[in-house]
Amino acid sequence: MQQSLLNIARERRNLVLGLVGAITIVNMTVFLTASSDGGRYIGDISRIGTVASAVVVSSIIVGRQKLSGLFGRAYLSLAIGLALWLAAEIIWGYYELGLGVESPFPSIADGFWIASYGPFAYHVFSTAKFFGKGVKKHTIMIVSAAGAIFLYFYVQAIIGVSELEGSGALESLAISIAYPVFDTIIIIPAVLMVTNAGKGQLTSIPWIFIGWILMVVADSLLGITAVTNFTGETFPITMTYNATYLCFTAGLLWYNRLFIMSDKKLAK
Amino acid sequence: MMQHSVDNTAVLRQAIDAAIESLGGPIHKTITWYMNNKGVFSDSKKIDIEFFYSNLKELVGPGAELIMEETWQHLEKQGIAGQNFEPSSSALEKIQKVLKIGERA
Repeated sequence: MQQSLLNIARERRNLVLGLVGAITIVNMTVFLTASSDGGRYIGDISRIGTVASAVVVSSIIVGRQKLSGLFGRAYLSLAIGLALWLAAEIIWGYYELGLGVESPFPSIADGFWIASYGPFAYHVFSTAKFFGKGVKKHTIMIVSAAGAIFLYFYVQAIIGVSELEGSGALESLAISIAYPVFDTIIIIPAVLMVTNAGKGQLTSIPWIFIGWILMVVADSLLGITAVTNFTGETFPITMTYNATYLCFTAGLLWYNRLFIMSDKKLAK
Repeated sequence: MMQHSVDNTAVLRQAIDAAIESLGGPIHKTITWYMNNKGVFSDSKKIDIEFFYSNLKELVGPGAELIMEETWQHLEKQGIAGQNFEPSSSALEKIQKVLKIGERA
């Protein structure tokens, strides 16, 4: 058994190193090509590739685990949410790679992104029952208050800097506000799970909840650029999304290898 | 550490299994495998609930509390838990108390 525990520690270290390595390689490629002609395309392809990696692993988990129990349902929801993200990223990429135009805002992709919040919320809130045991009430209050304050000022900022005009302006602004509202709903339990982490051989790194925090950072930056018609470099946002998707993939790999061990491993 | 050799042991084991199973079949297999390797279920007639809890916590951290609560709920459904408890009592404390009473009976 001691050997098994050592293996968990080794697996964790390897996964952390693998994640850092993957984020570095992907994002260095995005960074180094950002100012080139193909920079935008590489950014699009990198996001499609990184989110696709999460979709593949989540599908494997659903296939192995089926729908049994709290985690069976939670990981199916996560897989659905990730598939919706992939669809959104492909649509976004199609505008730029296929049609050669900048992706409009809002677009069909936003429909997929907004729709993904339902299954993601189910995943976060149902797994929070497991990972969130023992969170103190005052911590919940502080994090919730911080989330509400962030939302208030962020929405104010979005309205304040919005330069959208025309018939669809209100719709665009509404969608810009919907993202931080949904993000806040998800980031509050995500932050609480991160504050409650560090315990348990299998649960010490809350990979997917860390991914959510990165996602909110990326969404917040993207929201501001969308409503300000920002024309500068957006590669830092792409890099943050890549880190997010890869963090999800790492969490899914961890779950697939150690939470739902194969019969072959269990027979050892 | 306190050990329990009571009729309730089989019911407790069923309740623990049902609680872990509620997380999902494959996770149930994994957790049971870890517990077996730690010798938690090595004696089919006795379950050391404190030993089980400490190993569970070492494995799944805060998730151990959910499993203990689920175990308690299954015991309640089985009619084993017909006691009055302090509202602040943890699931572990309640299970320990029920087992102690069963041990004396």
